[in-house]
This record gives sequence, C-alpha cells and structure tokens, in this order.
Amino acid sequence: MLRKLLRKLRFIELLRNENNEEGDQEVVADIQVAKKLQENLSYIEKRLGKSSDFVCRKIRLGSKDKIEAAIVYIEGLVDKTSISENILRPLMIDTRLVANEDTAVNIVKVIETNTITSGDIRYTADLDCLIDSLLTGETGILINSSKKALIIATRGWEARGIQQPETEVVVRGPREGFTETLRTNTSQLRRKIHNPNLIFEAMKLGKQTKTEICIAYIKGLVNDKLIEEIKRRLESIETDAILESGYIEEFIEDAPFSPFPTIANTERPDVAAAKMLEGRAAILVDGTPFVLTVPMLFVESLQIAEDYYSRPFYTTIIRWIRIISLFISILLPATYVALATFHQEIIPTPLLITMIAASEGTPFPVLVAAIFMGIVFEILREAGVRLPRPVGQAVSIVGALVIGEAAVSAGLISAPLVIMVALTAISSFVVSSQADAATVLRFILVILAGSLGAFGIIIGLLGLLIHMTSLRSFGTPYLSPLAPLSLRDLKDVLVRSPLWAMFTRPRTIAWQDPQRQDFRMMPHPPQDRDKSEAEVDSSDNE
Amino acid sequence: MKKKLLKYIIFTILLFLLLLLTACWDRKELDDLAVVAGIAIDYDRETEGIKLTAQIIKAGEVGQPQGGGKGGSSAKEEGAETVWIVESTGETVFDAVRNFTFQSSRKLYFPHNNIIVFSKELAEKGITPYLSFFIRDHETRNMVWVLIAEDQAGDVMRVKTDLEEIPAVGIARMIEDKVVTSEISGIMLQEFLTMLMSKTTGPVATPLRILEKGGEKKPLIEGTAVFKGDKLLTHLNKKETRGLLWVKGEVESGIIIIKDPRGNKISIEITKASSKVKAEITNGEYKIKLKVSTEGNIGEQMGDTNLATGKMIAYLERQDQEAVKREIEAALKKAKEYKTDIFAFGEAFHRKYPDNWQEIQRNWDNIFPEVKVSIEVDSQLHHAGLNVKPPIPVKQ
Repeated sequence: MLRKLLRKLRFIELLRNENNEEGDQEVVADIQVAKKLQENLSYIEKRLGKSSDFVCRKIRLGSKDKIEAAIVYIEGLVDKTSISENILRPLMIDTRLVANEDTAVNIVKVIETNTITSGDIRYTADLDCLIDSLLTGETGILINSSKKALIIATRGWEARGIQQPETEVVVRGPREGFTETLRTNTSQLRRKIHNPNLIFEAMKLGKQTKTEICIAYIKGLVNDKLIEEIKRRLESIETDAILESGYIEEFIEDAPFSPFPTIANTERPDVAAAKMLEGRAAILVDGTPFVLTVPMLFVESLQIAEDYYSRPFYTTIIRWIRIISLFISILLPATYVALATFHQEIIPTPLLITMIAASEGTPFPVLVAAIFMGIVFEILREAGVRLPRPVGQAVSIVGALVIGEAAVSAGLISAPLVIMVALTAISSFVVSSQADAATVLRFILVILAGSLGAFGIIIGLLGLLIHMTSLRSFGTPYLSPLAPLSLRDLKDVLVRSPLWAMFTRPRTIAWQDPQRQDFRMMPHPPQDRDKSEAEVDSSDNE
Repeated sequence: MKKKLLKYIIFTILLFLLLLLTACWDRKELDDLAVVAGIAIDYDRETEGIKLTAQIIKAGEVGQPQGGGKGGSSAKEEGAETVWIVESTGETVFDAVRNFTFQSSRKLYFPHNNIIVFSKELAEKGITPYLSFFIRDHETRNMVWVLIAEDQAGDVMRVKTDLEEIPAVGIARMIEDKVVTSEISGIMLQEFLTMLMSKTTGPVATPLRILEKGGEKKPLIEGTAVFKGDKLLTHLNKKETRGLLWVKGEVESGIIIIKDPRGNKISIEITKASSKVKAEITNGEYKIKLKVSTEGNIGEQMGDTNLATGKMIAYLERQDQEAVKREIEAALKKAKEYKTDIFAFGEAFHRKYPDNWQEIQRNWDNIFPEVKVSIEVDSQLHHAGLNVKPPIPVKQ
C-alpha cells in the first residue's frame, strides 16, 4: 500500500522536475570571461547580489603598471595572510622585476609560472565556474584583456579545531574526532591509513547549498559494485540543501520506513578507518562531523571503538551487558505490563505480594501508568539534552525527585514501575545507536503487551524478527552474520575474540579480500618459541 | 486503483481493530487480586454441603517494616493481620469458591495457592469428589501440597507461624524441609493424583496436627497419612514414614541413631540413598526384591569409643543396615496390616508382567499382604566428620 502511495508521489515529483528543468535552462548559460575587466567584475557583482562579503581589489601589473587586474575573493572564506603573502605581494612587487613584456597574454603566463607562490593554481574561462570557486573560498585573479581567469586555492576560514567527540567517548583510544571541515576530516583519515589505495571521490550535492561530499574507500578491499551503488544513489539526490549527513542518510537508505537505521554514522576517525578496512565505504559531508559508513550491520551497534583497544575478556562481558541492555530497553516495560496485567501466576509469590502492596491504591491501570511514565521519561530526556547545562541540572533534579519520588509517595504510580522505567532509561543509553529504534519499539510492545499479554509480545517480537531479517543495507543482510549465519564472523559478535584470532574480515562485506592477516598470529612467549623453532629445525633436517 | 487503495486502508484499520477488540478479556490489574495462600475444605453440617476456608494474603500488611510503611501512608500496626481468613459454603467446591464474592471485594486468585487441606471427616469418606475443581480449573495449579488435617480443616487456616508472615507459606516451607529428616511425606496434588489413578497403589498425603501451646495454635507436620483408594485409613509414624521413603528412593537426608558396642548412641547422617524394586513371580508366589543402598557420615557420638578403625566402621555399617531394615519392615508391616500398597509394588509387577496384569490387579488386595519382600541394605560410612578420635578426658 505504501509502495503505491510512494509511486504516486514519485510521479508528481517527476512532473515537477520536468517543469523545473525547462525553467532552469534559460537561466544557466555559459558566461565566458570577457576581455574587459570591468564587464567581468560587474557581472560577478551582479551575480553575487552585491554581497557585503565580496572583496574586489584592483591592482596594476607590469613594469609600467599598464595592465589592470583585479583580485576577487569572499571575505571569511579565505586565508588573508596567504593572499597577501602569495598573491598580492608577488603580483604587485615581483611582476615588475620579472615581466618586461606588457601584453596581457604574456603576463598571465608569467604570473602563473614565475610569480604566484601558491601551490594550487588553475585557469578558467567560465565566469560562473569562477564564482563557484569563489564561494568555496578560492581567490580569483582577473586580468584586463585576458580571456582566462586564474583561480588560486586560498581556503582558510575559522573552524572548530579537532576535539574529543562528545557522542562516542572512550577511556582508552584516540581523543580526536571529526570536525565540520571536510578537508580536515579527509586528512584525519589519510593520517590513519597511509595507503595509496585510500580513495576520496568528491561530489557536490544540493541545488542551493552545493555541499561538498566525499566518498572514501580503500580500493581492493571494497566491493566495486558497492561504490557504484553509492554513487548512483547519491547522484539521484536532487534536493535544495544538504546541511548534515542525516539528509543524505534519508535520501539513500534502504528501508525508509524501518525504525532501524541501515546506515551507520560515527564521529571518530579511528572507527571510520576501521570500518573502511573491513571493506565498507564512508561518506563524508562538508559541514558536519558525522561521517556515514555503509553497509551497516545490526551488530555494529553493539561494537564500539574501545572494544578493540582493551583486552578481549572484559570486552566480551561488556558486550553481553550491551546485548542485555538492548533487550531490557526494548522489552522490560512490555514484560512488566504483560506480567502485571495477564500473567500474575508466573510472578514468584513474594514478588507478587510486594507488587500488589505497591500498586494498592494507585489509580491507573498498569498499561496507562507504564505509557505515562515512558512519556515522562522521554520528556525529561529531551529537556535535559536541549537545555543549557546549568539549567539541565535543574531538570534532572525535578525529574528524579518530583516525578519519581513524589509520584510514588503521592500514590499515583507504584514504586516497581518507577524502578522499571529508570532501569529501561539507563539501559537505553548503553546501546546509543539503537536508542531511537528502541524507544519506538518500546511503546509499540507496551501497547501489544497491555492488550494481548505475553502473546502480544511474542507477536511483536516475531514481526520484528521477520522485519529485521528482511532488511538490507546496500545489499548486505542487516542481521548478518547471525542471519544468514556465518560462523566465521561470529568471532566479533557475541564474543570479542583476540585480534590475532580475527584473521578474516566480515564475509558479507569484504568478500573480495577476506584475509586480514596471517592466521598464526598468536603471540608466543620466548620459551614456547624456542621449542617450536626447534621443532621446525628438526623437521627441516629430516 | 483508488478503490483498491481504499480496500487496503480499510483492511489495515480492521487489522488494528482486531488487536484492540480481542484485547483485555483476560486482563486483571494487580490490585484486583485476592491472592489465596491456602485453602481448606470441610464438610458443612448445617447446609450438608461444602465449607471452604481461604487464607487470603493482605499484601499491604506483608513485609511492611514497623514504623516505616509505604508511601507515607499509615505504618503497619502492632499485631495487624497479614492474612484474611474467610469462609464460604456451597453445594459444590466451585459453587463455594464463587460464593466467596459475597464477602470479598476481589476475585479469589488461585495460582499462588500453597496448600489444600482436607478435613479428616472428608478424607475418611473419600476425597475424589472434592479434587475435581482443582484439577479442571485453569487457575489452580497441581503444584500444591495436599494436607490432611487432624480434625477440622478450617482450623488449620487459623494457625499462626512465627517465622513466616503468611501461615500457609510457613506450612508449605515446613513440608519442603522434609528432606532434612525424611520423616515427612510431602505430597503435591500431582503426585497424589498419580497414586490415586493407579489401580493398586494406596495414596499417601501429608498429615497436619495442631499443637496448642499457651493458647496459641501452631502447626506440626510429621509422618504420613495413608489412604486406600481415596479414603483415609491410618497414619504412619516418623520411622515408618522413612521406611516408606527408603523403598520409594525418596530419602535425601536424615539422622539414623545406632549404638556402638558399649551402648553409646551414634548419629549417622544420611548423605545419599537409592533403591531398586524388583518384582518376581515364581510358582505363584509373589516376591519383591528390594535393594536399598545408602551412604552416610558419622555425625555425632555420645560416647568416647575410638571409631576410627576398620573393624569399628564395619560394625557401624552393619548396625546402620539393621536400622534401615527395621524402618522398612515397620512400614511394610503397617501397610500389610491395612492392605494398602503405599509402596507401589503393584506397579512393579505391572511393569514386569504386563500380560498377567489384569488378573494381578483384580486380586491385588488379596495378593499384597502375601507378597514376600526380601530386603537387602547396603550401607557405607565415608566420613567421620572433622575429628577422627573423640576428645577423651585424661583419666586420673
């Protein structure tokens, strides 16, 4: 049914696009760089709507100061010292020494080859292209009577430095996170993976914003079809603006109506690098520190960066804690409601007595109270996240004391319910990447449990299982390696086996080059090594 | 196209309605429950029907600390009752159960019931008619203890236990402690029904007496109530009960008291026991070969004999065997006297001679007293506790 609705929507979209394209074509026309400098400048000014941040510095070049030229850039996007050091000074002073011939064509050549001391320099004959470059922070040099404009890379703007990411905090591990600047982010990846096979493919998306986007992957590890598919999906995006990677996520995800995310995001370069090394591709978007990685498996939400930096035994326990927490955050309220309204017989007698004693005199049915408390918690959480820090403290006090303690002592809510909601709340923070899905599912399951009891929960879970097994993320089964089962890959699901034991990459993702390392990587202390070497020697002698 | 879409939408809405409509018929809120901890069944002379006495847990009064109390409401008062004893009469058990609603604001909730107590009077007349409700109803469980009161069952509901706040729970715990002595037959409804349905076996149940001490009534559980069919016949005492349990292989622990050569008492702690029952018919003679093996420790000695010699251990083992044998024989004697096969020997013959079973079953009442039982006990003492030799005072 939904599919049909979607098809209709798409049809309307197509119609609209056709109309738009006709209109657009009239506006977009190649404007060549004119011979007259003034013409060019006035065109640019007109195009930029006389923006106040547009700077045009007119100078004269050549030994006789005969050639008029202009340096154009957008203030705030450029590095001013770089302009004065690498462009203004050479042009205004050094060209006098070098250039004897005063024709424009020659002087362009001279400028390019002998004077400008900037690394990245190119020509364009298209004014609109020049304007686009200006808008990304490059500087243009227009010279009278030359039909070419010079573009020099001078990007440099105020940006947040590399800081510790707030969403994925680790005790052990690198403290750096991605920033809002695309180049900084690619450099961080490059610094992790010194390999010519690390490829960044650039792209611009968004009709209005023209946001820079970068697909990063390691050639040879990644499935080429995956890259093709990513490009195809990205290219099909036709929208006004890409302000955050979340925009892209919604446009290219496999299951738009699923509560589960099928595209992972991370703020950490080490995580992004590790995922690329497993054969995934990353999509970096300018203007956000959140980098998308595809394809995403469900188990990725149970793995965090620190798992691989601390020792395996503890990590395995913690991973189980995470699995339990996920189940608690989805199932606990529903189970409580089902037990308290339908299946009192399976509650141990002493617990039942306590529960009855606590709920004695509370006015609402358990189902209503559970939903109410669930909503109250979401309100508190939302308020706590959005409010400035000093006020946020007040919210938590109000939440903990007034809602929790007072509601119980006023006899509105039974105490076990409050404990349960609190436990659910804490658990939902443990597996943060599935927290959104867990919240949605929690409410659905509570209603099912309140109307059908444990039967309802089972129906809900079965539906969930069917849905999850049918999910795909860029062709990869969402539940793999659990379903379809791949025993080899279970080394990093329910347990985190030692790094030397994980000698293969995930089968469903990196099937092109599955071998990560030699499988005999277990460390041997010297005694053992001597022995095994001796054995090898003796066998050699034979 | 549009019609089809509409159809889909209506179908989806109906599907969701289905969810909501079927809902809640079975729903009960926690504070709508009157949790029954124990129930007693008596014969009511006035109406010539059934009198039920239920012990209902007052959840608000249980487990509340003195002076504290939940949610600022009044704390538990001194001597406040944790249970509510309520009586109801009716023509049948189910009728009487429903008649509780005349007095109770909440519907009685049986899944957490611990004990069913039958009065002596009912048990002697036959208890089958009164079991049906507890087997058929979906709310009652088969995992409840079946108790036979010494007199009126309703009185049992009114006894108090000191350690447990809810008397019925206290009684259930007392039965669960049977493993410590193996001198109580703790029988759950399920086992009772199994025994009852066998054509030859005489069911047993747990007897309960009421002790009066200083005006307070306390429950006391020991021994076994013995049935024939569904009618109560007699009781086994503690030693006879353990005799029965030896045969059934249900002895788990307990103390056997024997004497050393000088006549001082020694306590043997049973740590392990098992039994094998073999049936045999030779020349029309019914024989049961009983093999009981037990392991134990020397737990205590009242004298100062050195027990840590091989000879002495062998002697004690012999004594132990004799003691076990005596207990079994006592139980056997009583069972034969009352012609009720509480040991399920009939089932042993059933297994061994399925072809002759119909005949055996028909004559079982005559056969059982004549069955020859050979008892073989194997006893082993493994440990002597933490000290091997007794501390002997220096003789002056």
